[in-house]
Amino acid sequence: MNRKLTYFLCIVLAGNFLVSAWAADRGAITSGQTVSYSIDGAGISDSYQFYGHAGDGVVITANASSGYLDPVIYLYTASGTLEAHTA
Amino acid sequence: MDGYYTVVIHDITLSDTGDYNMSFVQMPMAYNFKYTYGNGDYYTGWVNASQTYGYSVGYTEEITDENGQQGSYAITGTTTGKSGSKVGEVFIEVYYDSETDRTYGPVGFDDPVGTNYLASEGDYIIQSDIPDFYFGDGYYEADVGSYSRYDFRFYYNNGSGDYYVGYVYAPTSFQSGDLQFAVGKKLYDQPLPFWSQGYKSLNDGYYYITGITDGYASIYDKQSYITSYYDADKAKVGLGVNSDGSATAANIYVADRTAAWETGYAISGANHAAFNPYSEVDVTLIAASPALASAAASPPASSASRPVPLRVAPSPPANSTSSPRSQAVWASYWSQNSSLLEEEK
Repeated sequence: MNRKLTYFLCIVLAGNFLVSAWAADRGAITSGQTVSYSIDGAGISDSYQFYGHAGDGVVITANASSGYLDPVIYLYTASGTLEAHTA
Repeated sequence: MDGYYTVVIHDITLSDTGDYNMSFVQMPMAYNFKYTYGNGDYYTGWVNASQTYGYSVGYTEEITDENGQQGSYAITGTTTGKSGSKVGEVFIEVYYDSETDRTYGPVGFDDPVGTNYLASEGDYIIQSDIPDFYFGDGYYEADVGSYSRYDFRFYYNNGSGDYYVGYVYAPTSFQSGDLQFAVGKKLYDQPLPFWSQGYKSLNDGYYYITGITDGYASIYDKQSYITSYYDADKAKVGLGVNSDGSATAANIYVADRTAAWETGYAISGANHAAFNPYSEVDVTLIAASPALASAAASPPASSASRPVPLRVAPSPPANSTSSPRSQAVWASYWSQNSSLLEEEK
């Protein structure tokens, strides 16, 4: 499954969700970077951080390279507010 | 809002172990802008800036350009900046020159030409049939077509056949009184009103205009160079030329008052000697002159009929480091009102 999230960082906030407590911190990510990781077991997520300015655009693409994963992308602000997510 | 964001990749199948790839591209928000000079020239581009920086569509900012004319920035729209570029960076798309009614592509089209928001940008325009022109820094216009480079030879007229080669920048189609800078013209010192301020002794030597290249920017104005000296009567060879008596033949010289005032140092072997329009040199004279090492600090007084001060004038814009301008020091072209000429009465 291939998921793509295109989003412009807004000042207006969306609804509130919490970042998964099970997310493994994979550190900072920068523009142009591609990463590959495994998700090990049910309910485990990976998280990445980047610094953004209001109005910036981001394009995040995730796809399974092996196994039967169906990765979904969530984007949160520093306060834990969900800004956007794929279906 | 500005700050750190978190991307979470979650497997909604809640299945077993699997691998995934994730790519991330960030594009800063950008504002399209147009900077218009007072003479009608303009350039367009975009500047990366956060929504909170202060730019908005309709924003304007006034600046006085180097010609004393009012120029202004105007934010014309919003866009998405180049992937990987940073806030504050400025990109330029096109430059329009009103004098030639043409648009030009900037050198730095794919790269930022400024890093500190509007008025930090500076760039050159390029076109196959013209030199490159610097513009930007908040106010410099490219000024295409206003100045020309005049290549010349100065011939001594004492029968020796010696001459030196150089060039000077002056307004295009420059003319003053009977003096006209045109290819093939021989420019004597009298009775031209040009030198009528009291400084008109070229010992009957003359400048011969050998070539003209139009379209130089105004920042070149009043610069002049000597590139070679030909010793016709003694060695019948070209001699290296430098500007300060140093050992290295830089093959370039910036005159203080350009033509009719320029001085160079011709090099032969380990020695050198000064020349100017009033005093030629040859290998014999150079050989009798002090060696380069000592002469650099104290040029030989006997090698020139009159001392010519070497003055370093203001440098071109600090950003103009990628062209010959970086080596250039400003001087004056032939000036009817030269104060130095008055001093020589």
